[in-house]
Amino acid sequence: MSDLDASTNDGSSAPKLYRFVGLVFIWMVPSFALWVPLSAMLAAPAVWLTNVILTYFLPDVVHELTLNGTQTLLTTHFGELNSEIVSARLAGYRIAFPFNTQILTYSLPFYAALSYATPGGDSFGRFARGSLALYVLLIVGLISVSLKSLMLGLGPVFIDGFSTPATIIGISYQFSTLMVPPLAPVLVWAWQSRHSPLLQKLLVKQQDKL
Amino acid sequence: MARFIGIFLFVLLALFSLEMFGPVHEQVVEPFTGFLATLSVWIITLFDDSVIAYGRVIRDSVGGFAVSIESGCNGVEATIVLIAAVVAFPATWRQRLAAIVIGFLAIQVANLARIISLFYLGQWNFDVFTWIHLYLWPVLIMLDVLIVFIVYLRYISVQPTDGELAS
Repeated sequence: MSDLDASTNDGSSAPKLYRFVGLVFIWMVPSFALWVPLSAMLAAPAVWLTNVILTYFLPDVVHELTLNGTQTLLTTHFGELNSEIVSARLAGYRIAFPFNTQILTYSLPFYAALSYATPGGDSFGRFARGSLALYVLLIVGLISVSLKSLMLGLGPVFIDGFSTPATIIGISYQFSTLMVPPLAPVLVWAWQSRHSPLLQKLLVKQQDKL
Repeated sequence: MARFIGIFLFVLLALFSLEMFGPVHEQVVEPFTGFLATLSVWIITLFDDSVIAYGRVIRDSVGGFAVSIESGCNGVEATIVLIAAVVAFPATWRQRLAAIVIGFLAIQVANLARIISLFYLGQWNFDVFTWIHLYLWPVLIMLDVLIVFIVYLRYISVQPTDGELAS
């Protein structure tokens, strides 16, 4: 019987939920312990892909996106001279914006804890597929953070030549940093566990409406 | 299932955008965040009278350490997630309202624990404070939402639906 097995209608197996939550907490310890030293390595492919995307779509703005440890450095083609944003050649240096990739990648250890606390099936395959989905969101998050940095750092020089309104950039940044990292692992886990005994039993009365 | 996902994402994005909308943020979110700071200080002063609050800031009047409660630390986003999930799932509106009210309280209890724990962790070790603030507490709050929603699903799965009540 699965740890995620649902309660009967009288709730007699209610402790199973607590057992699942307990397992999530237990799995969080090794997941986060592994994530701390590995987070730079985990972020590296996403940063590389984001660099390819940003330099392709914003070749006149973004010079490169590099990773140093867990810190990403977004280097631009602009510098500052006499309090004005000018080309990097004129300024003699490039303006760059650092940000911490861990504010996005902590979704991976959280998802690992949820996934491994849910027994059954090909747990590694399930984890790999779920991580891939989170990875796509990680790239979207890196793009959102980058655009927000460019918007605030370069101001009109960037916004005036960019088709997306500032409000959209702001909301996508907030959504990508506040909502996605803690929520996406739960959504991916819920989707993958939708056939688990727990969710099946919970949805049994409502499945016609779903 | 597709209907649930569609409604969930729509309500989630709509409420999140509403939260970020300037007048709503200024008139609703910020006063609520200030209230949370005041409530946190009221709880802290039950065992530590050296703490004061002004606006969204909680400050230790002896050591000088202060924390400011910002977006993402007021439980509003977690409440939005819960509301979106509850609204998207078929139930009576009374059940939904009860879940949102009780869930909101459950989230805020966890959130007050977050604020108070971070206030003391920051005075003890700033690196630990940063780590737990940025990575651990958001996960714990989202787990709180998940537990509330699962408990809600378990509750309504044994309750009669609208159709059953009507018949």
